[in-house]
Amino acid sequence: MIDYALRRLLIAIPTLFLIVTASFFLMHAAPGGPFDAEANLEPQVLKNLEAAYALDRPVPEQYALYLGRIFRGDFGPSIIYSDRSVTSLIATGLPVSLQLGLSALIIAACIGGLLGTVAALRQNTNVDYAVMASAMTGIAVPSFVMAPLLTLIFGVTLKLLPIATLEPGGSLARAIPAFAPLTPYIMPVIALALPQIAIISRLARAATIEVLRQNYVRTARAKGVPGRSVVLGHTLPAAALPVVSYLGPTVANVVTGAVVVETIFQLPGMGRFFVQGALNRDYPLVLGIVIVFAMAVIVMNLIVDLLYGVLDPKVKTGQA
Amino acid sequence: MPYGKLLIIAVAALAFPSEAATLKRGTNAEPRSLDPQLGLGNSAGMILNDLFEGLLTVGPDGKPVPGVAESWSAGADGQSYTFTLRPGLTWSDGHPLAAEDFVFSFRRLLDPAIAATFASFLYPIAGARDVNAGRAGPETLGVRAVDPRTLEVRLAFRAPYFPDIMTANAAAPVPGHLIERHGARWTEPGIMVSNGAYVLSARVPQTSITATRNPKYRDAAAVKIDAVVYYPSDDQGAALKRFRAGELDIALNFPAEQIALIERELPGTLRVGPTLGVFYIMLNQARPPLDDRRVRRALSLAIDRDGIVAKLLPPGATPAIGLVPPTISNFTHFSNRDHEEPLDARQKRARALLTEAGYGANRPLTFSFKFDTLEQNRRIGTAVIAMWKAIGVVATPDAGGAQAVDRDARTRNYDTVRWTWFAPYDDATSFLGLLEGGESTNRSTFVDAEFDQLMNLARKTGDPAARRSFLEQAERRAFDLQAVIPIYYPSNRRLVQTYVRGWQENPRAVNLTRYLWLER
Repeated sequence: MIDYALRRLLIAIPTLFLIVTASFFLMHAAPGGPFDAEANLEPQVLKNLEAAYALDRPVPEQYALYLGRIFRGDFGPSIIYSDRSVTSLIATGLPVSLQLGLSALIIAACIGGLLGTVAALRQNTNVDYAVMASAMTGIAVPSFVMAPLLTLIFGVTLKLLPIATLEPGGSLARAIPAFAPLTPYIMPVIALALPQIAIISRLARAATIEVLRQNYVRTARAKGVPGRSVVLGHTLPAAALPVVSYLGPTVANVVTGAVVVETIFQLPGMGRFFVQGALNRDYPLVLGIVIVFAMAVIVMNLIVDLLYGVLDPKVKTGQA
Repeated sequence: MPYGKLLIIAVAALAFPSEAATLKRGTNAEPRSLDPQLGLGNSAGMILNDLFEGLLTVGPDGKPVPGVAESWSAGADGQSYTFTLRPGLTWSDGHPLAAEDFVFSFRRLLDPAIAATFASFLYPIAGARDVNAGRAGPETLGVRAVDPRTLEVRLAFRAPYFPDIMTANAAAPVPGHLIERHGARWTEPGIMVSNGAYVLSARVPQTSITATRNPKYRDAAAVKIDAVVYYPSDDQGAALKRFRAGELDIALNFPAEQIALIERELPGTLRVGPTLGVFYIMLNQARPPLDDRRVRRALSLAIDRDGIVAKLLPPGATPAIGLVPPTISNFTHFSNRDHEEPLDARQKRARALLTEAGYGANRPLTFSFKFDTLEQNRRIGTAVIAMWKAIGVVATPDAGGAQAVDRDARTRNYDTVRWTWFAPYDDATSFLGLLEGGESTNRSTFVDAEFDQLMNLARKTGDPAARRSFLEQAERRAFDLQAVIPIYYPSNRRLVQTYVRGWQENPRAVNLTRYLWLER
């Protein structure tokens, strides 16, 4: 299994290289440059700025310079945040995004998995219909609608929770001071988790129904295995497979792509740096985040494949 | 993530302050840098104004007043200035602040390796352009510390607005003794030293920046607010919600369409004022059809400026016929009777001008109009095209990203394009320079020897009355040739809680925290 993991990581290197190359040239092909927003730059000042970031060199030369830098583990200086390096920006943004994204996904996996299983076990009853109807609503209402609604209700009207940033606030924080540091996370995590709960509950329901019809489940029941053991021991591991394979890339997606939620709640995560960087043509910042994002996707996919081997005896990752 | 936890605890401590007066100011996007020579935009500007003080600073009304310098005088030829520093000044770490610090700072701002955007602010200083281009060493710059309290500046040309420039953040002193030791890291909290009313104490990226009272500030006794927390926000809707929930005392910006809600739910908090800015349309006069003055005049006459201001813009904007806004001092604001006639009379006159120039129903005037896709600009662009259509002109919209539009303007790749300019100092030359040959801010295709001659005369004369007259003639000349089509003068809009006192809206949009106090 370790062999397999190492081999997969080795294959990841050319993949990463291709991603970096494509992103680099696409970024530079986009119209405009990092200093175009400063509409009234003196020509000399523009020259100095371009020289400072080597933007006055031909693009292939800039590419070679950039590759040389990342091989030394240096993502370079950020152009828009001129006194910070890209590495330090990612170092501040990634932990916040990780906290948010992982909390949201863990909550979503638990609640979604539970709801989906319950719905499957009570197939075509009112419980099932209620769960699936709320799931459809959860999928249909995007986070840029859900997040402002939450802030309007719990922040502006009820004044229970802080509206933005990671600073504790609202009447809940004052009522239970020990709980205060968590208050700024509540609404963003809910906004991030809701659509995921919806998707996961649908996946879990479909998978559970499918597994319940399998011969080995029927055999277990026929042997007189108690209902609880059938569900927990036989059904759940197999039904978890589609959910796990969905969670893999989604972790990477939620962690790096919570742009909308991070913007609405003014959270200092990586998604906001990504958007600011892309809008302002901050080439090093965007490329740095793309590399981190790509690595996250590759690693999560690998973890999913390894988990498959654990959950499903049919898959032997060691001999793949 | 122990670092993150520490931050949360630090922030929690700040969120529940004791009796100390804390002001919570909302700003725009995260500042790019807290180095006064590298910081750009409103967010950085607001914070740096509290942290640093230049030779001059601004009063509560935004007008220049003595800062680090207690007095200054111009030389007989108008091409040199001598600034006298206040006695006993120090940085926040107690290190003495002397004229030599300004010599260091001005040389650093012009150092090509720093690549400071606002290096051009110091271009009036003798030798500045050469230093900034790397053609001459920093020691050739016309700045000299005569003694610790006397700074002498030689200018390359007459610039009566030079003291005004000294209020800018870029012209503030930076602590050389710190920069030599820490390099670019000198702006980090715990390291940074400043000379303004406040010092940086904490910074959480994309969340907040905290500054506390500087006990070493020259006028520390008069400062009433103990700490300021600045909250960067790139989402105006979110900033408004935080203001409504009382999480912000001052909001720098908000979505224009929420005006009605603000007036209904937050009475007395909306502060509106004029700016040192102008929104105008540039026309490509280097090629037909807009090289014809009659055509340009017709296009200007056909625009319903009152309608744009009343229906498409947030409150406080005013219609513009001249390029120089009424907020500029020592200048008679330009007006034109033809442009004040009712719209239908103007449209009639415009149609006649177009007919005279050879355009009509059989041969309509056609060209493209470039504007960016920012909601407000897109609406104005569409409205202007409709107004031109009313006189038979077919203008095709060419909407693009802001950066693409800026680049096209710089390379003169347009028929017509919308443009906005905010003056860095209070002087008419900042606006008229937009049309002057050889000026780097000039994105227009307007070329006129007589206009350039008037600007030259204004720059050379030592007589303020003659200077004013030359500049007013230049504005007149630009209008006669319809060099550009001014549309409106934009407004500043702020939300200020009613318990924040001492706030005066001003064209420079600078409100130092040290003039404010809280009365709950």
